[in-house]
Amino acid sequence: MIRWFTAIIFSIIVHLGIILGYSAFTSDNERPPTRKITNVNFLETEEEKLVEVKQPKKNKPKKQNNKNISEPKIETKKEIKNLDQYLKDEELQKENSSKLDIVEQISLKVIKDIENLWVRPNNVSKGMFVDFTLKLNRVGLIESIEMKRTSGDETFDRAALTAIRKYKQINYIKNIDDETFQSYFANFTLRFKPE
Amino acid sequence: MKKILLIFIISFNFYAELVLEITESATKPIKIAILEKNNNSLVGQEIIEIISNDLKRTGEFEVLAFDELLSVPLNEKEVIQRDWLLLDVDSIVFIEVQNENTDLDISYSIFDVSYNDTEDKRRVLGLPDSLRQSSHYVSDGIYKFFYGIDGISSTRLMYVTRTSNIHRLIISDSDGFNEQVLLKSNSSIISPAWSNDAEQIAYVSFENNRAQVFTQDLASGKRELILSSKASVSSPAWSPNDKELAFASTKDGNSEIYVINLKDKKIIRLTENIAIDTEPAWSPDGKKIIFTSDRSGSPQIYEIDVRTKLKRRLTTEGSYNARASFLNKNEIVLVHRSAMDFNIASLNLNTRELSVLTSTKNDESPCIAPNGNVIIYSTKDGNLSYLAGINLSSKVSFKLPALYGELKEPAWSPFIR
Repeated sequence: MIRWFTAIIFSIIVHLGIILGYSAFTSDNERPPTRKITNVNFLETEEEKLVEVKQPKKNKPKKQNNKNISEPKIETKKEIKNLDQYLKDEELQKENSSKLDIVEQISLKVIKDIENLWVRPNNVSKGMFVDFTLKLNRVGLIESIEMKRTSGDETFDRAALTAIRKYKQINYIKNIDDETFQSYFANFTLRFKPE
Repeated sequence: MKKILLIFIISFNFYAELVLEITESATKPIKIAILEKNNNSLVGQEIIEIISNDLKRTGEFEVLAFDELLSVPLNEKEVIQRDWLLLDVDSIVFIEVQNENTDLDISYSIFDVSYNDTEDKRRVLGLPDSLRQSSHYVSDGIYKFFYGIDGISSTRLMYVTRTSNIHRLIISDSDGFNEQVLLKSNSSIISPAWSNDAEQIAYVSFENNRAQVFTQDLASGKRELILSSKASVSSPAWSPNDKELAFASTKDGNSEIYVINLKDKKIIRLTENIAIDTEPAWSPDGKKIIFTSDRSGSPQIYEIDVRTKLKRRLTTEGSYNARASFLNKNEIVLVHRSAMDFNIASLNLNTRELSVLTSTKNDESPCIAPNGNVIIYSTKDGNLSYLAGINLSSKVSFKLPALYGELKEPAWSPFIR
């Protein structure tokens, strides 16, 4: 009985290890690096923390922080045997990074456009904000606007909604690839939070 | 176990959710057109003109003139959205005048152009001979719909004019119409102040060759001298509950701050100092009074707790800060001298940050509109004294037409319902 129990626990640990290891590898490619872009937020901090906490157990040398400069040097030494794989990884990383640049550029343009359309009411209080979820079609037309979180003030919510309604279509979306569109712009959140 | 694994896998394959944060807003005004619904009457045109002027004066609206329109719909159904989008119009306000019981009621609806539908419908009930006032109420309703705070078109202004040594204390609508002379005198009249219920006023008159504070009931016209004294009594300020009046007086030697209970006439002395203490103003909660004092060698603003009499100095920047009043519980407005110019400035009481609000040179007597968004003050151009104002949110400055040789000491009424 104890043997069975030990075997089950051992099996769970091994499986968990495999899954965590796999996810650490793949998420590295998929997850955008932490960047400081004014007004653009990626809601992923919690996920990142989750992985970071689990990582030390397996003491894999690969770190989550892409900003670490010394990191690639260690990897080249290890993976030089599998050059094809390494080059592939590097290409993927480059591709992702350019994708993020595009997301960033479009996001900043969208922010600027909406800021030019939004006439802020005068009853703004500290910390007030309203969130809208926008659904876009492939050519950037806003198909639906849903209020995700109200500010609690009708005029404030309405002024923000009017700005989105006026915007109608995000033209920059047309030229991005399908994957980036699906990942970031098919559904995204607009938060109106005056400084 | 399977469930947990599944959740793990799903969570690891999730893409990051994009949140775009809009923090800055456009500084442009809201663009609207005002049309009469299903009619084109003279009364309708008059109402539209009053409302247009009210909204334009705020600096926060651009109202399209009739000849700028591409099409003139008679009602919401006739709106051709394309025409209005081309003009970049935000909303169309439809006015409907209803002549019931001889008093004119005004109904209005706000049609959102981008939404292509009516967003708000309201009705202002008319009173006898109140076409202008009813129109002002519509203006205030439209203002609140877009900007979330009450409009001030339906409020009133009090000011002092002087033409060839005749001083008049006048009350008018906020747009300068419907002037009523409350007091005419050969001597100076200064520091007029509204009670918070807008039923009484207080002012300083020099008709007996010294400064004396009078209160006056607006409905009956009854005047009352609040303190019989051979010394000067000046700068009246109503407490938030209108039961007390703060004032400055030299009755004990030099100018000090006092509070008088208007019912039992009991007087409390708040300051005791060899310096000049004057120009009291109540905090919104009625617990504190701010005043001007030169106890540090130059006029500065101080605050005193009415109950504990604990004092603290509020202004530190500059050698002249005077005539302060509360904009809200955290901010005061005052006259500040920067270099050689006297300007209206605001001081944040938490951060102690002072911001100069005006660019005119000889500003005095700032008074704050009841919605806290407009400051009106008197200023001088050569020898001519006139009223000017600034809208705090739009930063638009304006000048009130000078009909008199001298126009000064403005006091904005509370909201009149």
